Amino acid sequence: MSAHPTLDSPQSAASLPLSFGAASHPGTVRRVNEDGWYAEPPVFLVADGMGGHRAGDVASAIVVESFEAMVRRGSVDAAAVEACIGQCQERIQALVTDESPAAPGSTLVAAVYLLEEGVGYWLLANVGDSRAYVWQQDQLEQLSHDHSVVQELIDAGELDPVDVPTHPERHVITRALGAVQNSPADYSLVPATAGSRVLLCSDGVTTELDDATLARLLADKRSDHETASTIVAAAVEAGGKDNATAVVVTVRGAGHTDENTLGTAHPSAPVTDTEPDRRGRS
Amino acid sequence: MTSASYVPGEAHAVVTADVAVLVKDADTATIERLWAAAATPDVMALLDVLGEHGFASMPEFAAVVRSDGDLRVVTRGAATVHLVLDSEAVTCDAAGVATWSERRLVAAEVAGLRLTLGPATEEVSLPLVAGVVRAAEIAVGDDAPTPDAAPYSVAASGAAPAPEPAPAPEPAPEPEPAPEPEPEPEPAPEPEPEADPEPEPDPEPDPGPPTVAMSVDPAQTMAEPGEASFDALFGATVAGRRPEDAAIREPEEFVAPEATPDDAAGDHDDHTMTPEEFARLRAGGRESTPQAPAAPSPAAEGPRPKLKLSTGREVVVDRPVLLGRSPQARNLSSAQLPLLVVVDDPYVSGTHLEFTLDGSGLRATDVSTNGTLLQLAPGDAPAPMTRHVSTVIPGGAVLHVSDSISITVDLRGSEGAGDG
Repeated sequence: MSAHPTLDSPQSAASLPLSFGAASHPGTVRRVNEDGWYAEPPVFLVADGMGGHRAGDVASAIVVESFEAMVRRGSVDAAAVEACIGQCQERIQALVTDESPAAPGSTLVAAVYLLEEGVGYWLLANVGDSRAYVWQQDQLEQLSHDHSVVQELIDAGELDPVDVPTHPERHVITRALGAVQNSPADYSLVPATAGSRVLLCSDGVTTELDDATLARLLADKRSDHETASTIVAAAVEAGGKDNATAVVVTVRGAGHTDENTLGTAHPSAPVTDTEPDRRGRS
Repeated sequence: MTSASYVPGEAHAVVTADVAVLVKDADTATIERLWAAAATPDVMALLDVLGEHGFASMPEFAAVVRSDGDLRVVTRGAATVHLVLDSEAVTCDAAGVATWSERRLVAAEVAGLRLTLGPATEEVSLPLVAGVVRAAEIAVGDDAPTPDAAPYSVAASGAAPAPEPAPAPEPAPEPEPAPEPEPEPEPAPEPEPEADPEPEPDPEPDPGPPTVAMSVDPAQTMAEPGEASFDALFGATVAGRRPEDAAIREPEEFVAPEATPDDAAGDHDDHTMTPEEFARLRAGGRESTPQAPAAPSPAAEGPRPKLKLSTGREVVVDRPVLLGRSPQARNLSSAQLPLLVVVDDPYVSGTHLEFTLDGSGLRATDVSTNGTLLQLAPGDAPAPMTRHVSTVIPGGAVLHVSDSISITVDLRGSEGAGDG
């Protein structure tokens, strides 16, 4: 698959026209934050672990670790991402023991910056109900398609989207790394246009905040770190029933004033108080 | 590969001037196609053959391809490649990788390398110029590393002149039964040379039975390497070549290498599921979604069509291709994931043309705003394509996507080298 756009990192990663920030919060109800995230150009991801006491946080940590290892190995392309997802699936399933025969699981939404003929692209990979949005020209667009029961009902015309918040199965997902054995990822390739922002977030954000709110917060010309923190804080304030995590990446370009440098390739400030600055579960 | 030798084993070794492949459990037909593909130093052509039945059934392999000063090392499964890079021993393997791992190196910086896969059937090293043999190891270059080797002192990259050890022909061990290789069309010979465990250097180079070289013409499957090829063995310039290495190696150097732990810090342990774990998992009755992973291998066997753009770019169609100013694809399985071809022309739509392969060959669909003109053969009048209708495109046809950009279709494209 080397015919796909490829980006060799980390040599070329430092020069990428990307800035980013991330934030995560366990919410007001849960004690444990099972969300994980990773941000190391050209790879950004959010992983929402599940399985309660059965190590949902271990599952999301495996996803973060596997992608971190992929980035360190150097060559990042579609084939490497696909192989990495397969590895996450196997490693999480391997957590099954006699005492706990149900494997934990993790969602994954990843955005990988690649170059095709000098043009920047996002390769997006999605398993589960964490989401990728792109905000550009004052429009917010959801790029990922949830793998969830309610999304399948909506697609089948059997559920009105306005009824989702009260649907009893609104938290049931149909694909998850580990917990659901046959969970292929969906991939998208979209141009990474200068000035656009990508938001990756767990369902703790999207169940609390509607698209209009997300669009308004992304339109505020604040740093990626501030934007991510604001989104997570808004989700917690709006209810915080689940762990909430957001990664915001801005594609820099000609004419774009670079007043915010907080989240550039070498962030000077940690995005959470307790975690390393490129990955975390706070 | 210049100055190669091999240790007999169970895998198949395919060796040509610029390509060395070691592949496990491959059938004769695959080996024949691999041999044909190895005529050109093109990694993609090899992967096309190895992956022709899809990722899941892809055999374990190691491949080394030299072209344009690059050395590409590809490994899958348990196959490993040990090499000496800038005097340091480096191991390339696919530990923890589900598909394959690929590295690109500067050929001049690699002093020697060794491909290993599977158990050796004999503890001997036999010379090989080019051909197909059953092997556990292929060593290339005189500094072919051993895993526990002390750091090599290697001459500066590319500066080492090839010594001419004229009186040191590659000593071949005396094969006991000397089956004459016959030029009968049996593509995957299994030479079983019963060599003396303490090989006596034979002053007469005997390129005979163990080295069943194949001619470049795949139809003509066997040939004996001539004297000239053995001259080439010592003639070519390889960085770091040392005359003393022209002698045969001691068998103990060829003990199957322990995998050298990769220095990739932060690499975690691989959790590979045991069959028992897997069985327990299955017995646990985990629900699985009805969505099967769509993994159709590209329908077309044989050469893949090539799109030759007037910009000079050439694209081999081995998956769907989207061409446009800023083409995009949404929520597809990995097998459906297209190759994006970006053209910089304001008259070309964001996504202008879609190319797909199916049983009837190459199809193109115009999804543009300004339209596409299709010229079926040279001299024909270009006619507008019907938008959103998939059309079979014959070889030699030209698609005009704008005044300045056209695409010529070559249906036998991938027989030559293409950039994909």
